[in-house]
Amino acid sequence: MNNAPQIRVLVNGTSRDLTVAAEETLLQTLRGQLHLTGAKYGCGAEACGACMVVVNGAAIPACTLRSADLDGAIVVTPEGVDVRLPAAFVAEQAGQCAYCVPGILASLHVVMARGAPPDRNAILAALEPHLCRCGAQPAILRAAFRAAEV
Amino acid sequence: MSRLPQALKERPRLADWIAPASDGRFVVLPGKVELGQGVVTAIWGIAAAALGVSVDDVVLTPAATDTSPDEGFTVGSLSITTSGPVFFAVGQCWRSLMLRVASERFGCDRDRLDCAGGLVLRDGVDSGMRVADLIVALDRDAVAREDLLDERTMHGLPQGRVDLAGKLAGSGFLHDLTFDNLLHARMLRGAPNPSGDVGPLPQGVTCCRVGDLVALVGADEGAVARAAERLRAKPDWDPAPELHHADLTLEAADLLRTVPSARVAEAARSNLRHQATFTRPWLLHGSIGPSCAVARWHPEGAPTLEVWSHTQGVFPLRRSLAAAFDLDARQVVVRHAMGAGCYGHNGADDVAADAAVLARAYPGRPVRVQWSRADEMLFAPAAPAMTVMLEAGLNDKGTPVDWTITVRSPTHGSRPGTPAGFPTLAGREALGQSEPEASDLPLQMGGGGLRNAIAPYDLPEQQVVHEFVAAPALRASAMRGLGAHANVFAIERFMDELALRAETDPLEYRLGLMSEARGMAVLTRVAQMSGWGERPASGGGHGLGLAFSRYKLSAAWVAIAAEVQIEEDVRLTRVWAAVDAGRVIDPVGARNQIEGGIVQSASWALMEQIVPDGLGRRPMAWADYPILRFSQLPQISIDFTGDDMAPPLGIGEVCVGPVSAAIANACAHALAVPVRRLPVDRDTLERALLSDT
Repeated sequence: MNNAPQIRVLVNGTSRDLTVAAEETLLQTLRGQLHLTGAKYGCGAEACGACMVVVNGAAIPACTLRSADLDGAIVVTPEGVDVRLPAAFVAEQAGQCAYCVPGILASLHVVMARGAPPDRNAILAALEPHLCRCGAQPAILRAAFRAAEV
Repeated sequence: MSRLPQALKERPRLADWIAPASDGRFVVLPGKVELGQGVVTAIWGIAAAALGVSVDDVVLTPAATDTSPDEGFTVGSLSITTSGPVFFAVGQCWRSLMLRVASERFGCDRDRLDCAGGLVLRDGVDSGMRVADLIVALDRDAVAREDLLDERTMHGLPQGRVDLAGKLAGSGFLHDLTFDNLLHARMLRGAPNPSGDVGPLPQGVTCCRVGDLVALVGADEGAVARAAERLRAKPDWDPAPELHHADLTLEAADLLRTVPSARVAEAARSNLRHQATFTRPWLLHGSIGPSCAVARWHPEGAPTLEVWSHTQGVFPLRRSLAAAFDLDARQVVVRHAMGAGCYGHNGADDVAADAAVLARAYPGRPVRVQWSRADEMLFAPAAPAMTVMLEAGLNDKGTPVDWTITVRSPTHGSRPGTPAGFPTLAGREALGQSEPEASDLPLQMGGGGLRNAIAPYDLPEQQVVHEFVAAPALRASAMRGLGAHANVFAIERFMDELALRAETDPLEYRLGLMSEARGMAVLTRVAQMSGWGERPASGGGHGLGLAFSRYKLSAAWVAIAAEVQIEEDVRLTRVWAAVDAGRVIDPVGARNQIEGGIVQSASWALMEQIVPDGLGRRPMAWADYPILRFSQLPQISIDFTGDDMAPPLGIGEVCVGPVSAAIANACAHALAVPVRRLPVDRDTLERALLSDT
């Protein structure tokens, strides 16, 4: 295992030097090595959004992304998102089981971080990759609009 | 009549429910579990309100079999109705006992004292004494007594969800728990040649077999998961037996028994008859987080087996595990930890048994089993298909003079630990257990297939025939609403068909068959909300439909209106709900529950069904089983119409039947065709247009 890939990534503002397995996914690295459990396992097929994180400014499912390819990447996990987001979700009580919500925060973080003030369509587009089974979508939308002040 | 709740009479020690702690706070010990519905938060607020303290003075402990009272399963929209009064009464008893101590200290009459927000009030103002000062003086073995109750009606302190902030910060789920020396496992159900070799495995990953149960186990979760994925990707992987469309319909089902009504009212039968058959397909639970559990066998001392599970009932699961492993129930501890949304009997108990089976091979080490998405879709129980046949004889005004409903359904109740369906764990072969004889939930528990088979209208004697399907194609058990979903869909669609036949407005037709004021009130209200008076003409592609139900004839009264626009596909544009749930303890939580019921039922009604592909493969991924997305959400309006003085009623499952029914009625109205099957997708509508319903 001496030739296992070595990567340096910036995770939530902290530089991390990691040794990863060749096929290791970013979700496995975050949850296993870094104990960052905000990103969740949901489907392993980029189909539900539970594992969404921000990589180099874009919201990307971490379940299929290979960590070995991420040397130099800037990663924001649900633990590191814009503080207005969790505050708005708590204020709106948005989330029933809330298993889907951390990934949703990652997607909304990207919208909030854009220069221009976010609009409702941008928020709706950011949420479209996400599944929620409890039917908390109306409350999640209220929280997202609250955070973005739209 | 005693004012003490029955559960408190059976278990009167106050500290078994709410325990005074040495730090001056109270510890609340609910036996009910948090499934994403906010019930534990509600109980926390109820306890704080009854105690006269702030929520910060109350510590919540998740249900566990070694600390909590046995409150059975958290099911049936019953938790606040049954558990709330217990915690409210216990809190009141403690408050009275504290005020007794305070009156002795102050040397004043007890009537002059009360407590609020953790302060002891004398003559309505802060006395300088705190509740925390009194807790240490309480007798921990005090028991509930009727004379300790006051006249307050049950209510709760408004507060946010106790679990939400932690979950947003990245933890809070069973899936996130950490343990020393933890082993990770992935199940290999459906592995080719399960008794043979799985081939070379990476270092640190081993194959563990117990009977037919095969799993990969190792300390590095990623390595275990990747090895399991590689095996699953092999072409000879055969995850589940082939299944074909015909297997999933109930037309040729083996009937265990048919139970007709006791009497048949022949005399009232009319020659003017209306008859229709309605179907619902098999459905998946579709929780976003696949099931997970941790188990540890203690090599010495008691307890022997410790399990962390997101089960709906820690005590029933304990009974089931104890029976499976031939242990005394006291040798098993089941601790609840939160999972992703639970809408019924999903894979939670199965994966707990898997973890217990595997952990026995590694004494002293915790073993965590994470099911894959495919495991969850293939091996967790599914919600059964149903066929509901309705027949009515009519008088010359189109009013029913006889009424027969025939419900054909597999079981809705095969939870582990239930008297009827035990033991039903997916791993039962490994535990040497045989297939249990199928049976359905008894009517006194609300029924399974027969739930809400009685129409909530003033009808002549309703004949109910139960055709119980003994050996369905898939593993069937409870999902949100049980049989009420299909039965309410069928009855409410049938009411619209009868109204059409009687050339009467569907709202007027229903109101003409009702005499219960609260039911009539929600229907009238939802008609106002939805602009029912200006309903568009039928057949133009724009539909408005309504439906009414009272879940189990005992929970909240609900009326729903739905608006659809049909072009290429059905677009659900608006849903209105009028709900009489009596006093609403937690308005935000109540709105979330109703919204959630609307969205989930809309998803079932519009797009969900388990269908095999051309090769007979069942859905294994979201791509095979789409659910409603953000862009498909309707605009939702809800009005809680209940009287604040009326006792609170359950709301968790009350919407699922009437929402699907209102959507189907709206589609039938939009296209002027009878819609008799779910989901109401393009295929269903094309068949309806061809009159092949």
